[in-house]
Parts: sequence; C-alpha cells; structure tokens
Amino acid sequence: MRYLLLSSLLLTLYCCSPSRRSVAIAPADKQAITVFDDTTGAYLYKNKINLFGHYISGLMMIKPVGNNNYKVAIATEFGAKILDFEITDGQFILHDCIPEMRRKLVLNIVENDMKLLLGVAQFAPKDTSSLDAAIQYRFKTRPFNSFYTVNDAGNVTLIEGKRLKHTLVAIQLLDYKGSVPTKITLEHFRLPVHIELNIIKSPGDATE
Amino acid sequence: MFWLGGFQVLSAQDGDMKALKDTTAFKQKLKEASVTTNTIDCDFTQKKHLSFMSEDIVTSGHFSFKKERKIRWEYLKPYSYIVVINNNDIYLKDDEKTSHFDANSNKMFQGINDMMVAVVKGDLFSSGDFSAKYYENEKYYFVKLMPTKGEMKNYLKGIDIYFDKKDMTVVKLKLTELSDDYTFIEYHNKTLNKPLSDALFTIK
Repeated sequence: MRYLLLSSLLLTLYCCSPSRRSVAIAPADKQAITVFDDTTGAYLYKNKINLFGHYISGLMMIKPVGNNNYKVAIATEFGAKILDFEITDGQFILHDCIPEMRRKLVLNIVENDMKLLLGVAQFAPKDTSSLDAAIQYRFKTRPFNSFYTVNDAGNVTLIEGKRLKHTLVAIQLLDYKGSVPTKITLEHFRLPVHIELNIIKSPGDATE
Repeated sequence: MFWLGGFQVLSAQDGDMKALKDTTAFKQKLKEASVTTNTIDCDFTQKKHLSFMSEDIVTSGHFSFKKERKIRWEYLKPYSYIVVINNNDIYLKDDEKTSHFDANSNKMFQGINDMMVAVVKGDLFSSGDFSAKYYENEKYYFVKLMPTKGEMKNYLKGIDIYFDKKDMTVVKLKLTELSDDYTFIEYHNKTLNKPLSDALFTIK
C-alpha cells in the first residue's frame, strides 16, 4: 500500500512537472514566497519521516518570528527533542541535536529542505511562468533553484528544488484550511528520504 | 485543554518542599509498595515546553502497567500513538503503522526499555546512572535526579519525580533537557491492582 501511494505520488509529481508556457514579469520586490507567515503562534505538525531506511515519527513545531525568520523543533511523541534550529536572515543556526542526527549529510538535508519549505530564498525571482490557473515563481538559490507554484487562491501548492531540468526535491502542500496546508509531503528523488506532515494545530486555531 | 499558555510546573503546594532526612525509610517504603502493586491503570497529561513557544504542547492519553515488565503508553489526543513494552518486546503503533523491536537487539532500545520500567517502578535512582537529592512536603516525596553517566548526560539535565505519599506511585514527572526545555507528565484517575488483560500489552 505504501509503495502504491509512493508510486502515485511520483506519478503525480512527474505528470505535474511544470512546463513553462509563458513568462510574466516578477514583482521587483518579491524576495521569497512564504507559507508560514502568522507570527502570533506556532504551527504544529505530526511528522512521519523515512530517512535512509529509518522511520522516525513525532512532532514538528514551526514558529515564524517575523521578517521571514523561523524557529523550528522536531521532537518525539514522548516530547524528547531531536532537533532544534532557527533560520535567521537565510542562515541555518543549529541549537540542539541528538548525537545520532549530528551527521553532515543529514543536517544538510534538513537545512536545504526546511529553507525550501519555509521559502527563505535570498535572491529575487529570475522569472515567473503561468501554468493554467497557477503561477510559478522561480528563484535562483543554492544548492538548487527553487520553484514555487501558487494557485489562484494565493496558496503555494508545489515547491520544487531543481538542478538544470531535474527535480531533486518536491514538496506538495495539500488540503488547505484557510492559508494553512493541513498536509505536506516532501520527496527526494535521488535520496531515500520521504517526509509527511499532518497538521495538529496552527496559530489561528481556537484553544480547546 | 490541549493548548495551554504559561504552564507552571511547580504549583504553590510544591513550594514548601524540604530536604528529606530519612532516605533509607523512603526507599524501604518504595520497595514495599512495589511488592504490593501488581498493576497501575491511569490517564496522563503531557506538556512539552519549548523556550521559543509561548504555549506548551499538551497531549493526553492512557497508561497501564502490569508486573513485572509490561507497559502500555497510549496517546489519544491530539493524535494516536501507542508504545507497548512487554518484557523485551517493544511495539510502536503510529496510526496504521506498527513496528516491533527486540529490546535486546539494540542498546538504545534496551536503555529505553529499562528506563521506562524503572520510572514506573520508581527505582530509577537506584540504578547508579544518576545522583539523587531527596525532598518532601505534606503530599509528596520529590526526588531530583541528575545523570552521572556520559550517554544520558548527552540528552538530559535532570529528572524530577514526585511520589504520592499515600501509595508511593509516581504522580508527576519532569524531564529537563540540556537546553532547559522540558517535558512534564502528570498521572490522573489512578487505579491500583485492577486486573489487566495480557492482550493489552501486545499490538498486532
């Protein structure tokens, strides 16, 4: 079942792989596309991470602190913190990490994926393209260029990290409730890394 | 209440804690209670405090223990997640995904297994992995543990355990990380020595 799901996702992603049809002028002041922009609270997701054959489930907290800066923590269901970092002015600052995760390859993946998801592109978009009802913004970033597809409601639905024409990472943002994606899937195409996030709580939610 | 702000771990009634003079008597009481306690069944509330968040993450669920080494730890709100320890078998159920591990196959799992059982049985401080300070007030014994061994010191700054003086069971537990972020667990609606089926301690 899991492989069927994965195959469907891959098929969907490849089929939806954007082909540029027409180029529009990008807003000159657009420095990044943001998904998590409510600074009044934190976004809490339940995560399921498959990382190089290891399955890790737990919680992910994303706290926007303004000016496109974020604090993020990943913890187990028991509350034990696995990873704690912030992205400030485009820089990844690691605060805490369990020894098992303290590997350069793993931390690079976390840094690049989270910068992509959080939309912390530091360069102005190179161009934009129209895709039916959606607009795709292209940013020249490192280590790969970032493509953000925004639907006509203004919500980001697909984020891709590409090198040349190859998609290396694809993030789908699904089932929006207002401006909050309630489900996020992240797939690497050259590494055995797959992440699924399901919303538990967002800043706008009322306290029970 | 799922999402709380400004949660205070130490309530007013904990403010009158004083150093426990007779730690030998305390340990003896605990030993006697562990002999007569065959099962524990209760609800729990867990609060995760992260310094950068203004509100704690609050989860809740149900906890069961059966002698000697059977534990079922089930999160019910706001998500479903179950951990079962049955002697050396560890089962995890995350939504529809079930995993099984042999605690003996992995040093880390063995450590988790031993620690969870020790926490429930209240003999964590006799393991030699921690140094301990003992306190009491009218309602609780309070043991403050500091890890003394390298591996544990990489994860935790300390563990605070509160024992109910009436039955010597753990009622509150606080695990403080090196960064001072912490997890605080409270046990409610506790029933001792209620018959619990062995089926509760397996997941298929």
